[in-house]
Amino acid sequence: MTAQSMLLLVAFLAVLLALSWPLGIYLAKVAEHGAISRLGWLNKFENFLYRLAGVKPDEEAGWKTYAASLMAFNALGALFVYGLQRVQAWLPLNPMAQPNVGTDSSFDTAISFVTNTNWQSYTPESTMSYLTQMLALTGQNFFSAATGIAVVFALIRGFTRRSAQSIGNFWVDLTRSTLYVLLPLSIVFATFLMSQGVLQNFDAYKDVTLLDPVTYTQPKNGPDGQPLKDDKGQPVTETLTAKTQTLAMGPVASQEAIKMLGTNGGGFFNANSAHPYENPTPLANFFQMIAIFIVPAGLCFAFGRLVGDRRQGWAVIGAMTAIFVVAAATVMIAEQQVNPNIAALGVDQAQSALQAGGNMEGKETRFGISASALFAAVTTGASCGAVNSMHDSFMPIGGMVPLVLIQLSEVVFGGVGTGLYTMLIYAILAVFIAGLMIGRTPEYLGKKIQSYEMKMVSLALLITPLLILCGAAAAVMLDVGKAGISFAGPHGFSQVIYAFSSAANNNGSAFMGLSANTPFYNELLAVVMWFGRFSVIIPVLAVAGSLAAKKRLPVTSGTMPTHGPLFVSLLVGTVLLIGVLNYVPALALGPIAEHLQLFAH
Amino acid sequence: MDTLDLVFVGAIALFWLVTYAGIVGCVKLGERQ
Repeated sequence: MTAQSMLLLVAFLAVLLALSWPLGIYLAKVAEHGAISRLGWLNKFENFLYRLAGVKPDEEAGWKTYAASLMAFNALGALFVYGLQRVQAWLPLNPMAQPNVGTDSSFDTAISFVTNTNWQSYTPESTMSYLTQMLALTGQNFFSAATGIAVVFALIRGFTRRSAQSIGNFWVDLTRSTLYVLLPLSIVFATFLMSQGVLQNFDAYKDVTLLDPVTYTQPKNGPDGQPLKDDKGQPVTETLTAKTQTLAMGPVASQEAIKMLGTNGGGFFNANSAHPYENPTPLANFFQMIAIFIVPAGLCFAFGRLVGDRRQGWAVIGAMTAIFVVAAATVMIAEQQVNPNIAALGVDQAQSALQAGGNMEGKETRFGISASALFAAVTTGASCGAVNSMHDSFMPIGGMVPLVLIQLSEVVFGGVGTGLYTMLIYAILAVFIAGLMIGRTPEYLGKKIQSYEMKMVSLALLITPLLILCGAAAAVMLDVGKAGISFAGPHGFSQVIYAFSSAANNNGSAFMGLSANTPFYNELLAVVMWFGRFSVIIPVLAVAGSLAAKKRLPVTSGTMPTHGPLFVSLLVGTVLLIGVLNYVPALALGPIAEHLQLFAH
Repeated sequence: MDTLDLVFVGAIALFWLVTYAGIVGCVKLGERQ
């Protein structure tokens, strides 16, 4: 690990901590539904929204009503996003005259953005109108993130309330999360991004003359769109010279801000955060990484405050940080390695004053190894899915770590809300295991963990691996699935398992190389995304409702402390055990086999 | 608007229905405790 990588990691964690701590205090106030000082004018707007929607903010609900409201809101959101894509050609803010999006792609995108996944099987700049990008996709970036925050607020209330029948009001949590947290942060961050050079306009795309014409050779396609082959079966190629380039424009900064802050990850451009108009400078890149983690980290501190014991928040964030540091360091070390296949071509891959060295394939030179590797760990630890480099081009171990981080159910800071509520589900499992070991009824934060909670915890933690492994198995067995794989062998398998892991855990990043804009992948991944999201949320809300109805037990000498190093170790062990055990065979067939092949000689 | 639109809108409705059935299932499971 280079000194640059170490310094970057330390600086990242220091800035994250410094910014997320005060945010946590603020988030706790938002969760408590109290008035926020100096934001009284926003409180009036909030009340106006409730009157407009017919919501009675003081009426709280049990977990069933809370869950039903959440599901109704998200199903309607999916219908809206689907519908808007299907009629965008006839609507304004479409200067490039983008046609209506196809049915299966619209369906996949609608489910993808509603579930906070932002898996993009389409090329945004040649598919979506500005109206669709802003109204449907950016809108869902806010709402899906706010849904995650609402769920974690409800779960925290489950711990804090005593003998209560309600866990809050979904509409109030959704409104307050959007209005007080996501919108203000997005405005500030979008302004910062614009200062760094991120686009924000409604212009038509610009054709510019290249300073140096580029001559390149590419495979020639026939009228059917398939590559032409000569008599010997070799691909027919054509040599072209490009003298102009079309530069895509658009309202990028406003989407980019919430893309990161809401851990959504869907890019305005196909290259995502590798695109210079989305992520122009190393400083923009640094704060994009901070933006991904800041709300999940802030929620941990808010959790500690809300349950009345700040050490609980530190314990959770400590477990997350421990896994994250090891993962980020592993990617950094792996990517600084020399790739034997490239070394065999005589390419100098040593780090020097003139180059970053290591495996620069698929990485932007303005970011280099360290910032690309750290970004990969951040975006997959959180359920963001934005990328500033191509994970497909990483070394096998470098690519495996992001895959494992996704497979750990996105709890290494995780998505906005989702990271914390899934980590708390793991915490319940950890105290249950500890209770079995010492022969006591497990309890967490003064609430007894009993049979019903454990059934819900099992559901929440087992549905996702089931979706991933069954989906990947179907893709590698069926011809329609195999047709999308661009590499034979372990690397091709990694593409498939990554796609399903990313979809089921609502990450949205792609390993690249998989041709997923086909009816098979669009439809199957949509199923996986939807149930990967809501089949976890429902048991979590059920746990919240069940815990809220219980008494809060006093701390006694027999209570297992859940704020010390022992519990943090237990929590980390539980997360790793569940994650690793589920996926070891799949990892062995993919990145581990590829690593062994690459370094066999 | 074509037939496939109806299929995909129906699919979203089906997703919602299955998930709502999940809520009901979790409630029933709780009542048995």
